[in-house]
Amino acid sequence: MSFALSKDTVRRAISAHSALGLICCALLYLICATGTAIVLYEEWQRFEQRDAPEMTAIAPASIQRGIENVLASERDRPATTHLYVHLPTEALPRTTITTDTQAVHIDGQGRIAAPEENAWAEFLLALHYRLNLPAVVGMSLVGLFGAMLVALTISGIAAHPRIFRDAFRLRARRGDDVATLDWHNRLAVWTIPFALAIALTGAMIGLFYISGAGLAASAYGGDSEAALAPVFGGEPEGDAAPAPIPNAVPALAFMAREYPATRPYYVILHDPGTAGQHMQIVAEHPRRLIFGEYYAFSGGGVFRGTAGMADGTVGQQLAASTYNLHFGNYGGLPVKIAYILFGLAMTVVVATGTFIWLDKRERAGKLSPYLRASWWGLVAGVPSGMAATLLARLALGNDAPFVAIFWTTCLLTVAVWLFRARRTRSGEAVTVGAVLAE
Amino acid sequence: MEGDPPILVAAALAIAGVALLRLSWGKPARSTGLNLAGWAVLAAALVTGCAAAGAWGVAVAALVATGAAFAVLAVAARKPARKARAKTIRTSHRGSGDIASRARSGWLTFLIAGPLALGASVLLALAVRALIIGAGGAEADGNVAVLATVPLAWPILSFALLMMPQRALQVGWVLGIAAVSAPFLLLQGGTA
Repeated sequence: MSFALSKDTVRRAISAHSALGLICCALLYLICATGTAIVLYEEWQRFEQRDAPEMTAIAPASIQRGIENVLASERDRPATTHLYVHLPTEALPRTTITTDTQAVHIDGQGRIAAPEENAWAEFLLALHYRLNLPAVVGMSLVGLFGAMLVALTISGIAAHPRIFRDAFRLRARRGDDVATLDWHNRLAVWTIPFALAIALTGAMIGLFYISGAGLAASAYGGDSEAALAPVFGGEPEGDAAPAPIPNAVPALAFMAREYPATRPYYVILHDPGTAGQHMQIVAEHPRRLIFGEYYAFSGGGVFRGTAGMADGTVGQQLAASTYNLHFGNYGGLPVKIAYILFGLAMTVVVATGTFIWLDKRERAGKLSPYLRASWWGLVAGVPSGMAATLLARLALGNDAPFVAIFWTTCLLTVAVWLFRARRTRSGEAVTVGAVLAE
Repeated sequence: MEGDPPILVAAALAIAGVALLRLSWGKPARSTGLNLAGWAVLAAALVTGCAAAGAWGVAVAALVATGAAFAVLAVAARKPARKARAKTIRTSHRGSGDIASRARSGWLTFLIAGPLALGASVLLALAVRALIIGAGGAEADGNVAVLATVPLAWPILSFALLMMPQRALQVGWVLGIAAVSAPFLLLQGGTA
């Protein structure tokens, strides 16, 4: 099958594709590489802290004891506004309680076992999500690059008139420019559905600070939370008067009785210990793309209703499906492995795209040894940076300066490649000089 | 990922669809019948996945199809390839440099295809919201439409703008979309 696009249109498409690719390549490569690694977010957390207590399930009474123990341990500080209990899941079989000021694992009896130590996994997630920048800037930037990945995909299709007919042609063993081109085109073609799903969901999440701000400004007086309330549910009015802490036991019993097909994986307490407190249970719905449904309860555990993630409007279900579709956590390890494989392919596509542009420059007689060296440095630097931070986590512990280590490693790798390019050029100059002198 | 008969059928159809396309595109002459059969079987995989488990089933079928294609590519990558002389290497990139070298201001192009097109896309998304709500749609659907339209509209518009040969056409499209969408700002209403 071939599209009947004119030669001029194809050339324009290639030109647009190259321009977009050159603007985006460095950060897009970083985003693709870190995104591939963060598919194993839960598994990395287990690897980081191998001695945390693990369990396949925990009794509601133990969860309640855990909540009481954690709140009791915070009597000497301002009351937490939210308390999250992560319940054991297949990917992360641990019970972890997070408040405004701490995160701790609890054991099967609800006793505080150890502080949560997952700084490396969090660093990696932050690097992918917001490039270690403040959320507004970083997430928007990542969202913009996600949208540009959509543009690159569309322009790539238009730029390749034989895109489908050549879809299985991979002359990898040539080891030259054609092999690079084939790798780029074939992996890109077959990852189109994956790339579009990842890019659109990522851009939807990342561009919230832009699109959501526009929505909030035009319809909700600038209140972003009010703009999201029709989708994810709103926060009821608070009442700061003291009250006994919430009881999760009847709420969890209700879930087991009324929604046995779902798997609760979060208990969220809002304003615990106040008269305005309320509780949410987030439960996974098997074989759905949605991250789960919010089941709302009073502080005493009386069911109040759902938010509509599972059975609400199309928009609600679509919004709730964005996260799982982006991060690949909707089908256990097989889907994660597929996401890693296709994520690696996308990373290769970004890397080879710039090499194709460099090859083309060199074929036109514009030698670019330093540009090529810089690109090689970045291509090698990003995985090296991730590996260096992981080693630092193992050697230095949870408080290692991951951001500094990562970016220093990246810069050093680029510097090493540039130095090698300079030495090669100097060597060539000396050889040419010697030949001329003879 | 649990396997049950309908999902397994969807997965098998996804693999069969890729295999048919491989067979079809490997032939020296085009085979419309095989082509159509390949695409039809792939479509059947998605429909079966959807019938079995909705969006989840579609996603799983798409992953299986992509995985099958990767397996075929892995085989292709191992085949010895005849190395042509450099001067015979042909790529569709030839001549694309001429387009780029007809240098318009890169910064102005960036400004039009980047921030201005993004602004126009946000206005368009808000217009979509006004139309959904105006037609009796749910507020949640309208709000999600804004979040979903921007990541789709902006890259398409940016690419289209980069393809346009004249600056006036680029500016006209961006301002046109903004102008058509802007009045809908008056029709935004929320529950705040």
